[in-house]
Amino acid sequence: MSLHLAEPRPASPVGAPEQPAIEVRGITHRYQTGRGEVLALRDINLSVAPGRFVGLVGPSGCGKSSLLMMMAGLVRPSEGQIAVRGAPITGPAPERLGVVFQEASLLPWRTALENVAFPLKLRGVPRAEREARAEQLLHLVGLKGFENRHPHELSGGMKQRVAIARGFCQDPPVLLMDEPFAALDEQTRMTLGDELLRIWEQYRKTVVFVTHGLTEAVYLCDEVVVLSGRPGEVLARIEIDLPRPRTWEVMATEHFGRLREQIWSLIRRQS
Amino acid sequence: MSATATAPARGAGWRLSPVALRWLCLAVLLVLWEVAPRAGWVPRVILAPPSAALVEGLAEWEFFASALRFTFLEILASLCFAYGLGGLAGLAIGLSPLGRRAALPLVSSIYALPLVVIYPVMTAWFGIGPASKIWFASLYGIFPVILATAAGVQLVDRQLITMARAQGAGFRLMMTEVVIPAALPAVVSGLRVGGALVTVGVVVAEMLASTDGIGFLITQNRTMFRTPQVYFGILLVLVLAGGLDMLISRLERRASRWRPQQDNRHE
Repeated sequence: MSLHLAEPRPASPVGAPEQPAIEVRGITHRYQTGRGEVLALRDINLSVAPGRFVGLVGPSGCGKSSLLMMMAGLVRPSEGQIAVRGAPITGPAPERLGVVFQEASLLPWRTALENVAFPLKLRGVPRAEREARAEQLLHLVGLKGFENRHPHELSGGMKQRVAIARGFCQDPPVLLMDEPFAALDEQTRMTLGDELLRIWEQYRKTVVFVTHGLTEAVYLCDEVVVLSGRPGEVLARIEIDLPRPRTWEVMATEHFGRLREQIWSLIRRQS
Repeated sequence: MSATATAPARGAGWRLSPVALRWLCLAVLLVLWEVAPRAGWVPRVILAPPSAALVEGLAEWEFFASALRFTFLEILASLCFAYGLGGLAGLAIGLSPLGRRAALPLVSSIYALPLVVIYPVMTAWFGIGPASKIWFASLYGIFPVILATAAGVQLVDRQLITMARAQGAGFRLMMTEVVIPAALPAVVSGLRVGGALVTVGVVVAEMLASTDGIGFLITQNRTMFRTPQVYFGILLVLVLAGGLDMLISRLERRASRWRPQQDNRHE
């Protein structure tokens, strides 16, 4: 496949210490509601090395999605800074960050192909060029032959595949995923998780993956960051030292169960 | 026996599609219209048969043609104002929360008023030439366009806006790539109502005070009891309005082409 994504990088680069792909420093977030001020996040510090697949879990309402939206430059934190590849985030930065949302958020009047090409269209890339690239990405996510379908003609899983392909479209070094599989059924979620890992193994982007599926978090991630209940604080960072590439059999291992149990006990104490 | 087994059997004996039924109703009306005055059920001064209207009207075709062109151009100019300014105003109102709260109730109340009462004032301001017709018809047709556009803009999926923002879309691209296409099906329904009101506005204004146009010809012929010519004028207005409506329906179908099914629409 002649996909012009960045050259696949080795899993663990040896040599000089790289600057972190994402650096979160002292993020605190408050917002106003009718009943006063809510402290959503308190003093979050986090650093993600390039090429890592990092999960963000925590009880509902702990602000994990808000934190991701701050990384994406869509929400401005009350205090603190976020830097991606050394440069501060002050607003959306599509060249550095791809975002995949819980809802596929496809433009319903555009075909699958046009949806994938949308970020390039916004940047004025000529039609032929952007559609050639979008076609390759659709093939990558297993949607060959669905280029000209509109979103309403696709299943939930297919729509999310299109959204993932769109996230890859500008070849950003960092991919932010906000519960991308939460709206899907169990089987589709597992299949898509495997697909995501396959693509990630190939291109080694830095991924931050918000989820409340603990099995999913352990299965996909190199590291799981556990946030506390409101106000969200970093409770623990758990290294998932399961071998890669992973296949579903790993879920049946004792070690997998122990890691999952460890995360669950941290979250359970919060709620 | 299930309902699915009996349904086709019933359909086989009585197969008249809704479209056929519509045309049948129209044909019956036409025949009644033709027969009623000829049979003497209705005096011919009140109702001229359509055949007579066509014959008498076509005999004076140059008059009608020039009036038709005049009216058509007035409608066209009014449509430009009503659609253009109405669309822009609707966009501005729909996009700003303040605009929605401050302007929307005002626009809806004005829309509910019988605006025709201000037409005499407009003739005082702009004379009885085409300017007063265009002002009046534009004003008459602009409100449904504003309301439908504002409503359409408000209904745009917030998630799509967030997505486009994350992709770095600025204001202009957000409008052309997300907001306007998403609002289009709702906007077109406003264009439809606005277009009908513009036509009504122009013709009524011509009937009230003017020196040219189809409305003027209808009134003039009526004062002279030339009933067939009156009906010919009415037919021309119907053709004009029907043509405009057909054009907009086509646009409507195109605007909502991507939707799952035609009958799943919410308008």
